[in-house]
Amino acid sequence: MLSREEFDKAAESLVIASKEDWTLVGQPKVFLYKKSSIILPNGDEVNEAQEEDEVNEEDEACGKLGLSQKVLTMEHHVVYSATYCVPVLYFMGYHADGVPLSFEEVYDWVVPKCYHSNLRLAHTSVQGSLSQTDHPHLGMPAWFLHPCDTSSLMATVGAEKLQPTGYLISWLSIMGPVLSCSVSTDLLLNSVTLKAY
Amino acid sequence: MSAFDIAISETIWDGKLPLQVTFHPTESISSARTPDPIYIEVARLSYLSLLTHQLHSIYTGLGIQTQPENVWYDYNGEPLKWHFPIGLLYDLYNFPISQVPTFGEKASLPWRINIHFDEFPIDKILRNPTLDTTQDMFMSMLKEADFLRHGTTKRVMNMSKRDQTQLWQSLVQGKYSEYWSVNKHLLENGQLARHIPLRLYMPYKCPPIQELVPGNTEEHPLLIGDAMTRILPDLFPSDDQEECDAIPVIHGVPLPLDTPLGWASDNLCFADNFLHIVISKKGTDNGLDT
Repeated sequence: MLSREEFDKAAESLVIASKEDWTLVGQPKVFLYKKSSIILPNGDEVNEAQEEDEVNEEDEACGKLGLSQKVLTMEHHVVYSATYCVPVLYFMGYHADGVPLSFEEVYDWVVPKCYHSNLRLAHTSVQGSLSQTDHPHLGMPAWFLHPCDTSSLMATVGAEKLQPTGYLISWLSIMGPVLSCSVSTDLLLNSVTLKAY
Repeated sequence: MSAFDIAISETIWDGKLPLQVTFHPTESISSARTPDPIYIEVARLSYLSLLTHQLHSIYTGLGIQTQPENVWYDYNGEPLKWHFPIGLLYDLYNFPISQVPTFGEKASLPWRINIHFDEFPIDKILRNPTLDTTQDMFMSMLKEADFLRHGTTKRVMNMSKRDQTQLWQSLVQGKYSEYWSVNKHLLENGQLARHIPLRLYMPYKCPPIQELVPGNTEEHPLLIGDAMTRILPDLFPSDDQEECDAIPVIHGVPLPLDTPLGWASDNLCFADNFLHIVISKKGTDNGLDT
């Protein structure tokens, strides 16, 4: 568990260590924000245009940027939960035209396949259940991993012994992958340099 | 230890709101062919997604195909959050803290809302307002209230499947004694709450405010005013109501600042065991002059 002060300090350190991949937003209660995009091959559009193509021609078409590929914008937010005293990962994803992703689209394109069997059954993984709620700072709909089991999960992996920044980065490395938000080796190494552990 | 007052608790459970639900024309059903507005009374503690469930048979009988996941409601053009209790939604629009131009008049009764069957505003309200999703969200709030009161979610997590079903079904059907026969075990009156499950609601576009509010100790019983001053010191500079411009409102009733916090938490909470309090302004045309 983290106090709000510990979270705020850890968040600042993470921003520095991430070389501004992450930014700190909000006043007076801050949260972490990262925007990224992913490019997915759009198999459907390619198939329509080339009805009886060989497999290797489709692969080549998928490899090129342009109308045959989808660009998705993702936002990951790390928000402090006053109730559970842990960070919580929120996610918003959009098509290129700004339309939010549906539940199915989040599963298909954002959540890696290895998490699907648990999440699809009961919408829950080791990291917590995936559902939608109002973003606690912005008010609009957002996906999130429920924090009620975070504390015991972090205790199980021994993260409770770490300094707040180490805790936050460990937490992100466990939760992030479920929603395509990974922790780079650079972030980890930079935070070690900051003596965050 | 705060006393549980059955009379108050039952009165809150029985609190109702009259609604006028007007069908909004869709692509396939023009204004000329829309059904007349429906007048219906709903429990303040209930949810719009449960109302959809009730109205389903009426609209189906009129030949209108409805998918609950596509159904949403608006008040004066503003999509309504189906996961907020209906009583909370009504109070949010009836007791505004400032005059918002679109809402020049306070919401009157019956509350006039519109029902939509298409063009779901996915960027404004949560998706999939079905019974199952509503139950999941309700259970999630119940777990959070449990965690706040007791420091763990054990009571909710250890509920038998039968108790979970009874709790939910009795809320859907409005059956007080069946609801409380399960919920009393979740509240565990014998123990003083660690923290009070409490959320404050300001003008309609502001996200709810939630902070850790300690529960009573034997030595220092806390009041609603203490919680307000802790969370919103600018609006509640002291626990003297005369000095404050704002008033907390719950279930459509102004809440005196000297109300004991523990008692309020046990007796005035919503079905999810949270106090959902709207912050309103004194002296506007809403009957809240003290």
